[in-house]
Order: sequence, then structure tokens, then C-alpha cells
Amino acid sequence: MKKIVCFICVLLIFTLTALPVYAAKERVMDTADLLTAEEEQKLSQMAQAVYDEYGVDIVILTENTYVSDIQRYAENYYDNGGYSADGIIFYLSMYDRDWYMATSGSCMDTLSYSRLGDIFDRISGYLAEDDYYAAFSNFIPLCEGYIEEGPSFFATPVVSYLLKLCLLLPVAFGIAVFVVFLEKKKMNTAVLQKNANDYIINGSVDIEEQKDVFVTFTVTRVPISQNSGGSGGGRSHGGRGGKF
Amino acid sequence: METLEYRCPNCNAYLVFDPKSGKMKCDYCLSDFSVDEVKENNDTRGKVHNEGQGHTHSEEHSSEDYLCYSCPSCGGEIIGDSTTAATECPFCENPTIITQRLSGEFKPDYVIPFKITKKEAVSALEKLYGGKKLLPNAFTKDNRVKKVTGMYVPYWICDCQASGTVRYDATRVRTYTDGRYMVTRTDIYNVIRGGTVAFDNIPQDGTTKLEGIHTESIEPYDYSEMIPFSNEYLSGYFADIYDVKSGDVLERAHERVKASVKESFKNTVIGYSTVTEGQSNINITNGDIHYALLPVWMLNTNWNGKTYTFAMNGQTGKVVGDLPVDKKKFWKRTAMFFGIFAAVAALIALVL
Repeated sequence: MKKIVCFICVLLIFTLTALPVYAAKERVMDTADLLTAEEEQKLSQMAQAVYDEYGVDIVILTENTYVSDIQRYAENYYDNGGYSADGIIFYLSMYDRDWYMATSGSCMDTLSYSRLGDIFDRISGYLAEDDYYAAFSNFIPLCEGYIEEGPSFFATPVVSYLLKLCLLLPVAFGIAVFVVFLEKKKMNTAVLQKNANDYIINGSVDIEEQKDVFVTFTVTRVPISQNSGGSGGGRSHGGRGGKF
Repeated sequence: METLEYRCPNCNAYLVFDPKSGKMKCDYCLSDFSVDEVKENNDTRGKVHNEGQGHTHSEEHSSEDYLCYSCPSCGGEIIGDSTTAATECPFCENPTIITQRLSGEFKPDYVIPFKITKKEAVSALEKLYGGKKLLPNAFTKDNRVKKVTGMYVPYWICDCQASGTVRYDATRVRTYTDGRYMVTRTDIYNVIRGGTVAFDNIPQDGTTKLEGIHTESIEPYDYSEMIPFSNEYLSGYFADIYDVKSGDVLERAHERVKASVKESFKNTVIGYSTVTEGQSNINITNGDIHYALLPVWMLNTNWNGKTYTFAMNGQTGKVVGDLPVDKKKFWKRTAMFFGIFAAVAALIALVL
């Protein structure tokens, strides 16, 4: 009996000591050094407050290095950072002035694609002026507002299901018509012969003239797109990105 | 009008050509004779009847517009049209061959005898009808399948030699990455192919009774079994003489030859990403044209003012069919499939 009490005590101590560490996880990683230490502190506190209220992690990450696929990078960063299942990461790449917001869990609904667009529109002015603190300090409350509001009407499960169904039903109808048309096609198997290949005398094809003349060439160069490519398995994400 | 029929030397019933054995067979006493035997034997050789004189219809009238004579077996009046060369008496089913229509310029060079029996043709037709969910119920109601008839169809068999050149615009596309860019390099080529191709035995039907789409659909025939024409093979079947002259089918044959030449040439344009055919110049020299009767099992059914044709290659068994669609059934089945796919969509929407 004593042993069990002891064990529980030890477990309790561990949990208590572990908790503050967990709570103090870093949510503002200003690798590109766009913010002062004081600003980082303030933003961290704001993010912590949102986490305490809603259990949602709002993560801000800035970097100078080149990343080929910022979407995947942002998603992986969030997934591997030990953050809550529900959250958003706002990733700024100063290398090419790219931004990407990746959402997880319930934030995929509360911070939908169109809402992320609205959020970005409201902070893009600050980003353009390189006023990063203003941008981030507006970003967090904007997210919080939507998180508090909950998913929009169209993002609620029943409505989104019906919307999906509305999109799928015409497809179902199209396939049904296609299948019956295939059946209808089988009703008439008469076709004119396309050629007289059956009647070519064996070995009579004699190609006497054979010229392949190179004329010219064209070259097109396209920057490798970074928005495409799905998430690399594991958790699913929502998100939106672009240039600022 | 001169007609011909073959009689069994044992029982005097009529002899018909049997697709299975390739022999002349008496359905009454079951004796059979090879075609050569029949040709040589005076007893079995076709009996020639001269009809027409003293008949109510004049012979000229008979031969040009339509055929009208009395059956040598039962005396019943047999009426055919201007192209009938072999038929049967509608009253006693006595097979009759109108030899006058198979002589002179209308004497076929070759014939491919029937190899598919009527029984096989009927079951092929039943199989064609079977499982067709859109077929109107009334279409098959009368059990018309038994009315499938064996018909020797007049064909022009053409040999051709084609020569020409075809130009192509071809491209070869390579993509590779250069730093942060995807580079697409398109090499453009002018390609020319010239040469000759020889064709033999292109069959084009010489009758207006069957549409080209049906006769072409049941191609090809196996010419290794084509033999010099002899009247015996027509006994028990219907046969028509041509009413489309050989020259009139060449245009269609040339169309097919050109397509084949282009295809043969294009097959040698390899290693490109895209090949677009440009100008072509193909000359065709006609070789021999032969007149042959080829076997077809067929049934025409009139339905709501339209004719639907079933045709089967009487040698290889290749089937072509043309069947009406029941509009009500069409929408019913669409609704049914929509129901199924909508249920699937409902499940997919849950997962998405």
C-alpha cells in the first residue's frame, strides 16, 4: 500500500515539475531576428494566454534560410514541435518574403482558408512596412477572435457535409448517365473500318525516303512552384500562403 | 428464266450445302455428297428448268425489274427482285438458283462457302439480344430470331499499290531543373516519310441492300478458304448479284488504303513527344478487282420506322448488331445508377 502511495506521489511530483516546462514551450521563434527580445516576450505572453483559454497553440516562426516547400516545412515544424493538436503556425521566410499559415485540428475549421485570407489582409500592411511586431501582435488577437467565434456556418459539420454532398451529387449523376451511355453504345456495334491494315501484303511496306530534319527549339523557364504538393502524410492540415 | 436446283439421287429431295461438313446434304434421307461428286454425277447435277415462256409475266420484265417464276417443285409463284440470284420457294422452301443471273459479267470469280450453321447464327443473335437492358421488350417478342437468313453477298475484292509521301511536324520535349527553375526545352523537327505499300483482297460490298457499315464491321474474311465460284455452294441460301459497279467501291477502298499508308508511315516516326500529320500525297494504282460472293447471316428488323440490322460473318462468326433503345428504360436505368452512385457519394462525403 505504501509503495503505491509512494509511486503516486512521485508521479504527482513529476507531473507538477513537468507542467511548467510544458506550459513554457516556445511559441515565438524569431530566427530571422525581426523582433526585439521585449517584443518576443509580449507575443509569447499573448500566445500563452490564448493557449490557457482555448488550448490552442499559436506559433510564430521567422527564418532567413531558403526552404523549397514552405507549406511542408511549416506543417512539419508544427507537428514536430510538440504543440497541441489544435493550433496554427505562422511562418515567415525572409529569404524570398514568403508566408504560410498552417492550421491543425479544430483550427482547420475555425481558421478556414478564407478566414486566413482575411487575417492576412488585415496584417499585410504592417508586413509590407516591415513592422513585424505590429503584424504579429494583430495576428494573435485576430486568430483568437475566430477561435472564440467557432467555425463559420459553412464549416459546421452538418452544413459542410451537405455542401460536399451537393458537389458530389452532380458527379454521381454524371457517372450514372455515363454508365447508361456506355450501355447504349453497346446497342450498336457497327463501325466502319478505319483502314485497310488487314490487307497489307506482308513485308510490302517499303519506306524509301526517311528524313528527320531538326528545325529549331524553344525553351521555357518556370520558377519551381512551392504551393503545390500535399502534406507528407501523418496529420492533415489546412493553410494558406503567399508573398508579402 | 433459267433456274437450277440440286436433287438427291436416292430420294429426289433437294440437296443443300452444309456448312459443317462442306458437303451437299439431303435433309430428307441424310445422304451427303461432296461438291465435286455433285458436279460430276449426272443424277445429282442440278436440274435446269426453263421458265418464263408462256408465263403471265414476260421474261424481259422478269429479269430486269424483278423476278417472277413458278417453283419447279410445287408450282407456287416465286417473286424476287432484280438482284436475286439464289432464293427459296416461300411455299415449299425448295432452294432455287437463277443461273442466268450468275453468268456473263455477273459470274462471280470466287466464293467463300458458309462455315457457320443457321443454328449457330440464331444462338449468336440470341446472345446479342441477351443482357441488353435497354432493348424494348416488344422488339424480341415475335421470336424473329428464327428468320435469320444465310445470304451470299456480292463483294468486290480489290488489289492496290500505294505510293506517296507524308510530312509530319514532330517535337521532342525535355524537362530538367536548373537551380530553382523548371526548364522545358522543345526541339522541333520536320519529318518526311515516303515509300510504297501493297494491298490485296480489300473487300467492299457491291450491294445497296446492306450498308457498308455492316459489311465492313464483319470483316475480315479468311481468304485461304476462298475458292473458284461454283453454283453448288448457293443451294439452300439466298444470293444477290451486285448492283454497285466495281468502280464505285474504289473510292471507299482508296480512303482505307490512304489511312493505312499514313498509319504504316507514322509507325516509323518514333522517338518524339508529339507527332502531327501535315501534308500528304498518296497515289494509288489499282490492281486486279475480283467479284466474289461472301457468306453473311443476316436479319433486318423494322422497328418504329427504322431498320435494325444484325449481320454475322458466315465464315468467321464475327457479329455486328444494331439494336433500338427503349427511352423509358434508358431513364429508368439512369435513375437506378444515380441512386447507387448518390449513396456512394453520401458515404464519400462522410469521409472527406
